[in-house]
Amino acid sequence: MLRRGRSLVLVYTIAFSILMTIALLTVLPISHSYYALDGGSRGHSELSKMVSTWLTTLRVLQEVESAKTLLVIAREEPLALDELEHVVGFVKRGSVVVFYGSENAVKQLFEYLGFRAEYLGSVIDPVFSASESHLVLVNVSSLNATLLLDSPYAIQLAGYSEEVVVEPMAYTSMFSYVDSNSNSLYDVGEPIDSFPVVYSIRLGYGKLIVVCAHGLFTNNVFNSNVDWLKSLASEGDVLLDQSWVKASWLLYLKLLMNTPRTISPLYISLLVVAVVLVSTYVYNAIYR
Amino acid sequence: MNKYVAVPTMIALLVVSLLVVEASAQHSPPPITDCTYLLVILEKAIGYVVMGLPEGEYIAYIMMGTPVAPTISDIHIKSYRALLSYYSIMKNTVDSNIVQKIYEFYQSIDLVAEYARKLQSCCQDPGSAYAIRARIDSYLKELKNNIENMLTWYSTRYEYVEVYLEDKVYEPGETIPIYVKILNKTCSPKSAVLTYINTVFNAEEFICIESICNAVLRAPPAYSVKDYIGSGIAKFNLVVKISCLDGDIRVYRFVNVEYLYPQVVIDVPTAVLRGDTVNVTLYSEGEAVNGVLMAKNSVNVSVIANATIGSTPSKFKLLVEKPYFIPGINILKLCVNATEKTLPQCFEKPIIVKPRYPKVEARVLPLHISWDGGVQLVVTNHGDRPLKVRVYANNRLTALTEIAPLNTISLYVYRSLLPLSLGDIAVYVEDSLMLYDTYIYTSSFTVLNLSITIAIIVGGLATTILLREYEKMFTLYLAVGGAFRRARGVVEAVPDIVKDLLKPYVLGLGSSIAQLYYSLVKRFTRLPLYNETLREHYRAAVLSVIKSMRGKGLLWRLLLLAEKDMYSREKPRFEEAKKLYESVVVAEKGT
Repeated sequence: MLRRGRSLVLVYTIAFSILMTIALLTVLPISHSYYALDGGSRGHSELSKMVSTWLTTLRVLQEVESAKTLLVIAREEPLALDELEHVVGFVKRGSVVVFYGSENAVKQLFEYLGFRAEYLGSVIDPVFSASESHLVLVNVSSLNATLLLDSPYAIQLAGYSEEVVVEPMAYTSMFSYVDSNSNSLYDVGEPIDSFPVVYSIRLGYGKLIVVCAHGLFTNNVFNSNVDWLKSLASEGDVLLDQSWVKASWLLYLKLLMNTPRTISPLYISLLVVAVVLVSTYVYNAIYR
Repeated sequence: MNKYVAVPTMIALLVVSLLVVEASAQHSPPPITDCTYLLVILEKAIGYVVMGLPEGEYIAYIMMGTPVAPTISDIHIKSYRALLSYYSIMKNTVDSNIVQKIYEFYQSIDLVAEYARKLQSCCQDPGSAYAIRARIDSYLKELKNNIENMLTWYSTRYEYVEVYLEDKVYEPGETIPIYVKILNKTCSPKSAVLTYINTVFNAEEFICIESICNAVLRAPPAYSVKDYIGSGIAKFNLVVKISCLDGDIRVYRFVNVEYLYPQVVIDVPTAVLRGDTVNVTLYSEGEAVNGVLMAKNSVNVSVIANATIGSTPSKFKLLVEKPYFIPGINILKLCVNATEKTLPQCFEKPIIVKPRYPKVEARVLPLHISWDGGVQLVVTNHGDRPLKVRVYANNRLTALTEIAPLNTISLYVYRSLLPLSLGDIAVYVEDSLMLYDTYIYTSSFTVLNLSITIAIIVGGLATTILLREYEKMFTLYLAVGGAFRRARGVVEAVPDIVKDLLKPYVLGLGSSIAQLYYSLVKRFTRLPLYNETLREHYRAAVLSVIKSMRGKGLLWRLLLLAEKDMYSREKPRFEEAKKLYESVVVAEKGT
């Protein structure tokens, strides 16, 4: 009888430990650029409070109603070819997509659209910057608004396409320069001028806004740019691309445990299992 | 307030203060410390100012409010304020104080040039930044010319007086006559002042005869402007102060004065030998100047003599001695003071000083074989003066002595206690009167210490012999050592080890007859122990258990056969032993 009681305690302990491990893994913060649950400077936790849902695959864009939707895509790595097709198709149907991230991701997007893109270097503006020189203020002339970009960079575009119309939308100030050798200092010969860092690309019935910066709606600059986000979204839904998290099981699991604005069914299930385990253990302990 | 309240309150206050600091710092850019960047922005701004483009005003306005490093903050703000004042002058040329404002801007141009110089000096690569500063200087010169013309033009608009000044380049100390013709009777010129970058160099009152007034200034002598002006034409500001009934007015003009460096020739041989006396010839191609002659090298700078240099060549005899000169390249430097006509200047002439070594010889053998491991150094002084000898063996000072003229000394500079060793030796022979350069001798050597080598060989041989004699003991020692390593007690371990060692003897050394004997003995009693011979065993254990006398006799014979089979070259036949075996069995059965 005693042995049976001990084995039961062991089972409860193991089960509870597993649950606790899962809970801790999902509750403890993880730092990863553009992750919806990351509260760090490059995370998207502030943006995720505004979005209707986050997408764990871009295939679902085929089923989303385009006209009233704003999709935010931020990537460290370039998009896959099928993902590019889905995004361009989504824009052509009348939606607005805002794209930013690493220079490789942005370059690849321009090249997919038929342009030659050359990375010139990061743009530093010691005069029109926020608390740090990599947080650069840029002027969106068409909207008479100012955006705060995290680590913008200059890309030189060449080529021409009749179907795709690219227009520079925002420039850095005339005090900015291209840090060609990435030493965060001005070196003689580095160009000082205004550089276009936000491009508006008209595709079909929609618009693709490409921001040459590592952060636009990331937490460190979100408050400065949220009004622009609202004006872009108007009354429609805001979607956040998180399809890249599948590369990491932990990020993916955390994402499944959370849903924007509501509680995840998986989270509730785990909570119920935990409560049942504790209850049965207490019951056995009292009545034995 | 107790500690339970105070500590959380302090922590809360700290957190709140940090948050406040962070919040306030959120949107203010950090001070710019990148001097190259600031220099390029300054160049852009001045470029626009010279071209009269509005971008210059915008840049000046923005930059004036942009924080920079505290060390340049003041001059940064003043420079951009000066550039902004240019636009304000351009926008409001009907201002009654326009001449004064133009003059103030003219004065502040030098401040901008000073700011550019400061920025260049703090650039990470001042060489690359030099080109930018040169362009800025060029822009500023152009700007200054424009402002001078503007200032003169606005000054001549006055209808009260006419100012006459000879348009020429003056020499330092030359008189500058200034004439003022009074056109308005209510006005009278008061003074003429000569300034340069806000420093007054000369001022004189006007003397008037009817409507013509004159004052005579002197172009500042070179010694009074040496801290401000380099070689070339300097432009002084001439301010004529005029007092009129309806207020004071000032008329601005510019006076050009040319300043030059003196022309001095130093004539000296390019290569000299230490201790020689050389002739140095100095003469000036202009007026006489006073100066100081110095010797400069990588070690020190020494004043050799004061000299007055005129157009007649003056000759100095110079002894090339220590410590003024070192072997190699030395610079003979002549710095002349400023005079009335010429600015101060330094002239340099390189001299190669060839070393002169004392006549000395040091020698150490490359291989030393000795009983004490010592190394001997022999130093011979062939010269006629005593010399100091310092010896370093393996970088340690091992000898310090003096060697008399025409003498040879022998020094033990190293002693090794190892049988074989290697070493380095460095010998420095110095002249105490410092007339000769230090003679340095370096060498490597090998030392064989015979006594230590022989002692090691003998000791080694003795040890080998001793170990050979006590081979078993040594083996036992090693085994006991092994037993120690297994953490067992010596008392317990030794019998076991001996047992193991003697096991082959107990087992009969492979003898079949011995095996037969053991099998028979085993039927009646125990087998022999490892520390027991067969005979001892026979007496101790066998005799008492064999009952018949015949059996005892037969078993003794079998024992002897077993011994013979084990140890003798003449092996007995096994059949004989077998017969004895069977006989013993039969004899014992019969009992």
